[in-house]
This record gives sequence, C-alpha cells and structure tokens, in this order.
Amino acid sequence: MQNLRRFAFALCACLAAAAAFAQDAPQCARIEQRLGAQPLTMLGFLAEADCLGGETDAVPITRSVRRLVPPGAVPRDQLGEVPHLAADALGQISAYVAATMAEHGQSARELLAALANEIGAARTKLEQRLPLAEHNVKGWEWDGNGKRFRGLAALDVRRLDVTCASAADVACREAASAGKIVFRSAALVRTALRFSQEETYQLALEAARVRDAKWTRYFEDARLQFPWELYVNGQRHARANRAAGGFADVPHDQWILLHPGVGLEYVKNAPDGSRMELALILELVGYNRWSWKSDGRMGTALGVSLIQTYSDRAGLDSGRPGVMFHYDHKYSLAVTRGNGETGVMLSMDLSRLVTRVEQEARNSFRVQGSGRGED
Amino acid sequence: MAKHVLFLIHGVGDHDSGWSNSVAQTLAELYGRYEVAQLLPFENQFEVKPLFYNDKFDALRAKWESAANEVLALMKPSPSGAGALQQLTEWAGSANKKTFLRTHVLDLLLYRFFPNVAGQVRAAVHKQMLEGIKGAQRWSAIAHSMGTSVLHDTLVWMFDPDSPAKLPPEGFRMEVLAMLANVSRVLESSELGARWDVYRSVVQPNVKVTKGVCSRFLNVCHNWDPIPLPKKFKPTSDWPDAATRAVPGAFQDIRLDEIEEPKMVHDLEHYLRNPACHIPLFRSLIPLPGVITAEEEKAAVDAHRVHHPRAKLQKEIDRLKALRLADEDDDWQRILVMIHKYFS
Repeated sequence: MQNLRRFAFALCACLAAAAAFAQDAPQCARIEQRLGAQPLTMLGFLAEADCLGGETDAVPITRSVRRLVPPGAVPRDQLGEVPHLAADALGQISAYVAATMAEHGQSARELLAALANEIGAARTKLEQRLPLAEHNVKGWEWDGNGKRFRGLAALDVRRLDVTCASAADVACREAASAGKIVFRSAALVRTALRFSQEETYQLALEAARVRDAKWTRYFEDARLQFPWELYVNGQRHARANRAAGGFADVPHDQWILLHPGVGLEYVKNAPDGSRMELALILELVGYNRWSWKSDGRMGTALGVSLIQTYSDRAGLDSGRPGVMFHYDHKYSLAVTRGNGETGVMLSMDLSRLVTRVEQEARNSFRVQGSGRGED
Repeated sequence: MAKHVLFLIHGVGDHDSGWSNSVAQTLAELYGRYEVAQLLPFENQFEVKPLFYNDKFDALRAKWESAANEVLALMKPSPSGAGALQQLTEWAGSANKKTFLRTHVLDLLLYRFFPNVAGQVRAAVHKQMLEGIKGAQRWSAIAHSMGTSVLHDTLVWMFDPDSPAKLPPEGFRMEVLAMLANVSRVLESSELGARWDVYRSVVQPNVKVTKGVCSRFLNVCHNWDPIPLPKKFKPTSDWPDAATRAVPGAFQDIRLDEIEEPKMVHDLEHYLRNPACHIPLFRSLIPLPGVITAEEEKAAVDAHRVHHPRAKLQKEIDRLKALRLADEDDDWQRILVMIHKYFS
C-alpha cells in the first residue's frame, strides 16, 4: 500500500514537472535566441527562469540530483539522512563538472576547475558539519549586476562576459557552453544545500507555529482583558521581554483588574422572588494562571479574584463583597457576604453549563419516562 | 518552476483577507509594461503571497464590544464610584466601530504600547512567512506603512542570532526588502535593546551573505506623505557598513514627488504606480543588466507625469529649475539662452 502511495506521489510529481516543462521550455529557448550573443546576460536570464538546474532542465545530472534531494518536507525520522544525501549530491555535481572539463578550452577549464574547488569546499564543510558560511545557499546566487556569485569570490566568471556579432560565434558558443555548466552546477548546489538545511527550517517553523498557537490561545481562550487590563498585563510582558532581549515566551498568567462581568447570584435567605438574581460583578483585583503544553495548547487554568457584586434585592444592600474562583478561564464560582447573608454566585458560563446539565437531565428523564409509557 | 515568492504586508486600515488582490494585479500590470516581461513573464516569475494581521485587531475590538454590551445594561445606573469604569467600558465597547480613529489610530497604539498585542501580531506574521517560504528558491517582501514595522520586528525574530526561532541568513535570507512609507522607527521597540533598533538590528542589506536579511533594501518615501515623517527612517551614509553601501543598489533611498490624488499619497498602490518606485523595485527583484532600459524608464516617467495634474506642474517646475543660473553668473551668452528658452 505504501509503495503504491509512493508510486502515485512520484507519478504526480512527474506529471507536474512535465506540465511545467511544456510551459517553460519555449521560454528558455526564447531567452537563448534573444540573448545568445551576450552569453553572461543570457545565463543570468536562464537562471532567473529556472532553466538551468531547475524542473525544466532535462540533462541527466539535474534529474539525478533533484531525485536525490527532492524539494518538499522530509519526514522527521529521516532528517538524520539529510546531510549525507546533500553531500552525495555535491559529489555528483563535482563529478559532472570534472567530466565536462575536457570538452572545453583552457580558459573555460580554469573556470570549471575553480568551480570544482568551490563545490569541494562546500562538500567538505558539509561532511565535517562545519558552518558553511559563504558557501551556503545564498553564496551560490547570481548577482547579475555585480557579475558574480555572491559568496564565491574565487570564481571569476568575467571571462564569460563576451559580446559577439552572432550567437553562433565561437567565443559565444564556448562561453555559453561553459557558463551553462557553471550556472547549472550553482543551481544544483543551492538545491542540495537547501535540502541540507531542512532540519533548521523545520525547527524554526515548529517554534513559530507553537508561538503563534500560544498567542492565539492567550487572546482566544484566556479570560478576556479589557483595555486597561491588557495594558497592565502588557507592561508585565514588556518587563519579561526586556529581560529576555525581546524574545520572551508568551505569558502564562494574567492579572485581573476592575473587570466588570455578569453572573447569577443566589442568596438563600433573601425575600421570595429575589433569591436568584442577575448581578453585576466587579472583579476588583485577581490573578489567573495556566501552563503551556509543548504544542502551544493551554493546560488547566486556575484563578481567584476579590469581587464586589451589585444586584437589586428588596431588604438587602445592593453591593456584596466576595471571593471568586476561576477554572479553565470560563467557569467561575463566588461566595459573597452581606447583611449577614451568604450568597453563591455563578459566572454566566457556569450557570449556562449548570442549566444545560439540568436541562439535559430533564430531557433524559422525559425521554426515559415517555419510553416507559410507550412500553 | 520554483517561483520568486513576493510577500505583501499591509499597513493600518480596515483590511480583509483579500486585501492584496488589487495590489498583486497592479504589480503584474505594471511589470507587463516592460520588455523584460516577454522573457520572464510575471506569472512564471513571481508568486504573490499576502501577509495578514488585521484580523488580530478586529477580533480584539469585537471581543471588547461583546463583553461591554453584556455588562453595560447592568451598569446603568452605575454603582456608586463606578462611573469612570462605566465610561471606560463604554469606550471599550465602542472600539469596534468602523471609524478612522478605531481602525487606524487604535491599531497603531495597540501595536506600539501593548507588547502582548504586538507579540501576537509578530507571531502570526512570522508563521505565515515561514510557511510561505517553504520550498521557495528566492523570496522578497514589500511592506507598507505599519506593515514596515511589523515586518521589521518579525524579521528580527526570524534572523537575529539570539532568537529562539532563528534561521541563518546565508541559508535563508531574502532578495529584496522594500519598505514603502516606512514607519519602523516611530514604532520601534527600542526599549528592548539594540537588536530591535531599526538602525542596529539584523534588518539590513549586506554584501556578505552571512549578515543582514536581504541583498537589496529599498526605502521609499513620498515627499507629500506626512505619515512616515515623524522619526523618519533616514540612515547615515555608511549604514549598515561602507562595503555594502559601495555596492550599487544594495540600499536605495527613493523619494517620490508626483501626486495622482492628494488624499491617496499614503496609499500603497499610489506608491507602486509611480515609475520612480516600481522600476527600482523590478530591477532589484531581477538584478540583471538590461532589465528596464533607460529609454523604457524615461518613457514610463514621462507617461506617468502627463496623466497627473501635480505631475504636469512638476514637469514645468523641473524645466524652470533647469533654466536657473548661478547667483553670480554674468555670462551673457548663457543669460540670453536662458531667456530664450524661458519664453519659447
């Protein structure tokens, strides 16, 4: 089954590549036709159009390297193989350059020898796990205005910078032929080195995803912060950020300050008809805390606030102080006291939950009851 | 084929997730005017990917509105001593109204003075960018207004050596960073230290591939756009270093002057339509000799000027400037030529 899936994947990739080739091949031919008398400019355009070492390049070395180091995510359990595969790819590119030297004149041979040296240096660094520095992906990029590969000072391609009356002139044909090997090799080296960076990329992506998930949960799941609370908590985060050089983790707690809300308050000994009342809750000050899971989800949150409730009950003061406990950001339960009477307060979410449970119990009872009746 | 990924990041305003469609269309249309498009067509060459963060502000404002509406009915008449709180709650509830103050100014203030809001925005953009460069051979970014600050801060997260999510520039840095109506200095979190200071952070072009975040940095400002003026981004002549500044095109400080519509001088597309902006941009995105010739450039500039009232006047101003002689000039031949040209 797995082999079948791999085959299907490879087939799709081949079809996509064939479609791209059909679309892009005339583009590459057009560039060669138009700029053939200025080989270095032509090579820059061919590189921009991905004609050398890209999907549309049909030469065997390109196909071989792209098969060895395919673009796309590498499964986590295969990441260890990545540097070896990339080094193998560089070995293939070196062999390709060496094999083509004999076909060229002295000047081109010198250029190709310098290129082989640079590829060898990159391969050695990769194999020895040394920093690639200037030999890394971006060092192999072409700067057409500077007429150089950005990180390869020793690779002097100015010898390819000739202008001919016609593209068929020997000087231009020789420059184009050697230049294609240089530009194709550079593109393939970039492909191999980018592949070798896969683990670095995946680690950075994972870290960014987790951080984004945490901030999303902070604003979506944690208790809502009114602007003044957001400011206070923001200043606390700023302090943590200063200590961490600007790279502080997402907060795992929040202060609650002058936070208005609504709840249902029950006072047992209040006059009939006003025992259960909708009340305004003012959380004077409070604290809510949670932990983060490794994938950016929130663990259980617990919090507590000092509160003052306001409701309209005959014979009782409207304001009642109390303490409120929070669970998982949504559910809050408070104990209030006033006029010698103790009250219990539920946040709207909790009261909705209680009501739903009660309703479900009633429904369940009704269903069971009717069921029995039908029997 | 692997395309050059071109990120677009918006500024302040009431943007939705499809905000970049017209900008992408404008870019493609402008690019198509030049001969380079025949060899390297826009659709073959570039893949435009929008970066979006306005939803974070929208969600926060909507939550405030909903929470305030829930409690305000019970706050009237307000409990004694809670009048100020009622006012604050009313204000929080009104933050979701689509007015200029709420959709523009409030977003700026939230980003600058609420580090938790800024943290969320940066994290969202960081994730979008990393997902966006997956498999890309080359990538660049065009940021506008507040987006310049968001992008700057996100790039610090992406490339600073001390970042927990760092990438090595020599493996991943971008080609072109274009900052249009750059407000990154006025919004910078400089209190966090040098790495967040826009002149000292990693967000710079560099001739060495092991440094900086890009090969070419364009800073574009419209002379009549008042938004990027306070704490204007104006680096010294050796920023980021002398070797980089010696490379033509590595840092380009571009000033625009033509006005299509006075109320649009801060608009992203107003910036892009100006050839003085999009020609250096395209030349930077495709750094090859002959990309948009001098003749093409002159024709584009002239055509742009002809169509706009302010630009027409600018042409006349330029003509007058060209006629001016030095204060102490007493060469009668030049004086007579000048008088002749003035009246002809």
